Amino acid sequence: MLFPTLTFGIFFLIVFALVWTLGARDNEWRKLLLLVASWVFYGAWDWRFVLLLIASAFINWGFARAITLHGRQPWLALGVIANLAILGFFKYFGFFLEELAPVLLRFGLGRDLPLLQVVLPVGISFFTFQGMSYLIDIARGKTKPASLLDITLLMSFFPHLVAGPIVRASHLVPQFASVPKLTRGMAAAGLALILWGLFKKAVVASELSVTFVDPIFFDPASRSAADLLLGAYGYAVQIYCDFSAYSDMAVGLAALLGYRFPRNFDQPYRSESLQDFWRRWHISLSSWLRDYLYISLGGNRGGLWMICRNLLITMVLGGIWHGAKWTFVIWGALHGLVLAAERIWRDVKPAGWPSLPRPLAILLTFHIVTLGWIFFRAPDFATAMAYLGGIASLRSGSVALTPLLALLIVGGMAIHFVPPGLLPRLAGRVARLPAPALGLAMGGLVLVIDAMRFQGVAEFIYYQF
Amino acid sequence: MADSFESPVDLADVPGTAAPLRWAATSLAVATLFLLATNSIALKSWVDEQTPGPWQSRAAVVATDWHARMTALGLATPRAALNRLWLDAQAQR
Repeated sequence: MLFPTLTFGIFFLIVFALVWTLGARDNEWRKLLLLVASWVFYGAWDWRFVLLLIASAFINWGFARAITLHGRQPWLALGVIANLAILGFFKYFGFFLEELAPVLLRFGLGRDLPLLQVVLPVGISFFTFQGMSYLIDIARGKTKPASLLDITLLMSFFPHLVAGPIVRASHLVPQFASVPKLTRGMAAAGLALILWGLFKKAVVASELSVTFVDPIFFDPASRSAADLLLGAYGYAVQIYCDFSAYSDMAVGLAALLGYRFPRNFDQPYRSESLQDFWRRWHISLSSWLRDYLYISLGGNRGGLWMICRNLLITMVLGGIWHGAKWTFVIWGALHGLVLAAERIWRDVKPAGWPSLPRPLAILLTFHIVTLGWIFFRAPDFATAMAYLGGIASLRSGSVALTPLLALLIVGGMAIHFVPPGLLPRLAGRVARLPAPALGLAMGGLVLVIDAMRFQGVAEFIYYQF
Repeated sequence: MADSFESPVDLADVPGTAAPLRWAATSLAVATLFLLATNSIALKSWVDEQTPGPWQSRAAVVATDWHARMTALGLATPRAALNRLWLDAQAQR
């Protein structure tokens, strides 16, 4: 069930009506309603994976109790291993066998390797990371153990379930303690975010993806250098508009149900360094990696080389989190190396040397990020190298960019340079409108978006993670 | 123990505005009715895409009839005109 579809619209209107009527007085009933709704939402992909979701919640609840009652050792390690085992089996087992098979065949051992096609449950990386952070927070004394209902709802809650943001127990479980209070400001901001996300996904990301970026990445060898370069810029805009749209809609939908989710994007392409980029892009993942991986590896302790090592390991593992492909490893390693280089430069830069002017720093950072996106988007390493080789060849030829696509790319970039407070100010004005006027305005905007949207809705890029 | 964090929906409440839930629900209801009238093609397409069966065939008759009525009233015209403009923009080279 994709957010920008009529099926989801009907589903959400029913859930909204039920939780604010039947679940308005009794918080436990409200949470049960939300839980069942979340399972229906997730079950629309594959009912079998609802059982996995429930099992995962039970496992984390059980280990959290064990940590609380018996101490962190060995329960924390076992809990983290259990989460990693679930993730590893569904996400990396097939890749592992694929990589292992040629090695074993070389030694005459690979004939009996099982041919196993493991179906990847949608959003598994998100809910297993959520489970791990819950256990680590319990062990660190940063959050209290939640009831079975609360932890199951935390992990299943449909707005964030399949593509984040990664909402931590310490963010959401305290909000489950009582029936939330909806304010006009919250509802207005939620509605504005849903409409904004709908526009970014249904109009910008879908159009760019289907008519421009996908065909270029499908066969980069037949494209001109200009096409390949524009295709990379197009993908940079597409992935931002796609992923940030999901986050905006998730935050907006949760707000209409009375819950606050953390910010996940903050105009990432206006970053002046890669470190700055990771403070603005997929903030819930980057802060997760910082708090639970980078700091666990030693963080900023141990001198410059240890910091660089920790940065590299964190980013490579962050790359692998996205999927079992070498291109993700390279993407993560590229980010790790540049982060380490930035760190070294900060330490060794002679005093008095000028810094890059801000526009140049933004341009440089954007191009490093876009280089990474080529590996991220390419189906395999060979395609990524063919893509980069095509750009470097300066091969001439036709350009597939139409005026509309150019407008979407420029518009997608321009989003990053509007004043950051524009949406909250707009939502503040929306909150003052009478309900019928707001309803007509929303209906009109959805009508315009629907008339502009590409036929059919492509899945969100982050559904595969 | 709650973790403090920033959310994009943290807006100061608007003074002098009451019943936020009724306000939000009314807005959603008005938007839904507006779209039922002006975007009836979306409803028809959605029903057509559902798995064929007795429910679907009955719903398809209702949705097709509803769309024909809205078209006859001229309420489907703005969406169709906007869509044509968009398709023209897509076709420009």
